[in-house]
Amino acid sequence: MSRVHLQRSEAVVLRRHDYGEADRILTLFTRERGKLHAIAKGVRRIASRKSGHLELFTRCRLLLARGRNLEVVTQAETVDAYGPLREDLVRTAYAYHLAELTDRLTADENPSPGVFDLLTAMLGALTVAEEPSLVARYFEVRLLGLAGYRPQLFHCALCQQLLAEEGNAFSPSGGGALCPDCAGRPGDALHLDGTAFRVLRFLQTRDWSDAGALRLSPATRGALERLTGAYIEQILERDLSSMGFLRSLRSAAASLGLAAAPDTAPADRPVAAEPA
Amino acid sequence: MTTSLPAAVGRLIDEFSRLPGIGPKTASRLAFYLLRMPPAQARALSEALRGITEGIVHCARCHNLAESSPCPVCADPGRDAGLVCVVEEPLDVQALERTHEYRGLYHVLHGAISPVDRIGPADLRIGELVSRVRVEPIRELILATNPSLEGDATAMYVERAVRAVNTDLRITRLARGLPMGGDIEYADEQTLARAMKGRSERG
Ligand SMILES: [Zn+2]
Ligand SMILES: [Zn+2]
Repeated sequence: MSRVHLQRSEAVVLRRHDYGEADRILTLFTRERGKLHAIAKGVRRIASRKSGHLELFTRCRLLLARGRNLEVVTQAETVDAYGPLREDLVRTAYAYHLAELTDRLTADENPSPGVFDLLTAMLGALTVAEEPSLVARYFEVRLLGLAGYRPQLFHCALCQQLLAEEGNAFSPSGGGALCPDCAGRPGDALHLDGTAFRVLRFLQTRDWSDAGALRLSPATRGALERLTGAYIEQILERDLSSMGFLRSLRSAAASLGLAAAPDTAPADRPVAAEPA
Repeated sequence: MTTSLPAAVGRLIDEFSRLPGIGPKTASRLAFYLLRMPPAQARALSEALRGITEGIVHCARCHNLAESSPCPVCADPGRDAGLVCVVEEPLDVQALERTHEYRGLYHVLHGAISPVDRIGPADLRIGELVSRVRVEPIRELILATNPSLEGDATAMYVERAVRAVNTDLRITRLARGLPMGGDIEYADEQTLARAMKGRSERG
């Protein structure tokens, strides 16, 4: 019998697809080795001991064996299932968004404990957050930084001059905010609302304990989603399926006559951000 | 690699490769297995394949696969039309029918919400279900989607959509319990929590 090399790993399940009769291939983000792909055998059988521990967005401790092409999951144990994520459709949709971004903005086998810690912290925040969209924006801004795509928010992305808080533009292809002089240069410059700009800077430089306390108006939430969405789609060169899902939830809610998520705060609370 | 083969064999291998879970190697193996089959058996297979393209329809009421519409379940006057069990796939209907416990009707969604695979609510037969709730004398809707994140998301969406047109309808979800032959110590926390929530009275 050949010696099987086993490795302990802590992971979040980002994606999975069915394979063969009862197996699944998982995309995992591990704390130790970054993103990797593993096969979990027999987990689609309803009596499988592992399946519940390998649900999407579950944080689990795994024992992985090196297989011929893929790692093989030999043991799995839940650390946190983030239960409330699964009981609310909007939170589920945002969890998909976090997982999709992590999958798309990271490369295989590139260890990044910072990404793992951010992902697990924000999945946890999503279970309790009053405003799930704020969790998503904080996650986006931070993940972009960790993945090497940090948008420039303090100096003009083109001429590098220090930016004032008002009157700027935002260019996905330029790499961030632009001063009024440069605003007309790239073709894709977007309007950058002063409040949305201050919030973006705040998210980029503060901890979640501060950022999570922000209360934003629906208008600012919409502006932030458009800005980060355009920036991310420029990097990925395609749209995000999770954003499409969130939009379809909103339009379906509207057509069914259901109220969208309640707007807890009608006005923005002013925020101050400092340069990093 | 397949250039030295007759074109018909190459075509068969290509067609097999398109099936889920089948790679090029398995496709070749299957094709060569078929080539060694007795001709009568190979003809029976090709007849069966033709059968699914020519003789299969969706039941206009429950959207299950059938040879005619309405399907035998919807056409059976002995079934309770006040009960509708909502499932993801036709195979789930088969599994539930095998239990002989259920005497109501079905509604087959043909999938589950899965943003990663770009399957949204509009790709499923949810609008058709809402229409049924509007016009049929339904007392109870049993949500029997898979016990997975996608199944849960689909059930939540269906519940919202149906509630918007009918606020009195009884909506239930299949009980989540511990699997037969399983050990409690190996159960994940979601399964255990749900088994605890759905515990039943003894005797
Ligand atoms: Zn400039
Ligand atoms: Zn039918």
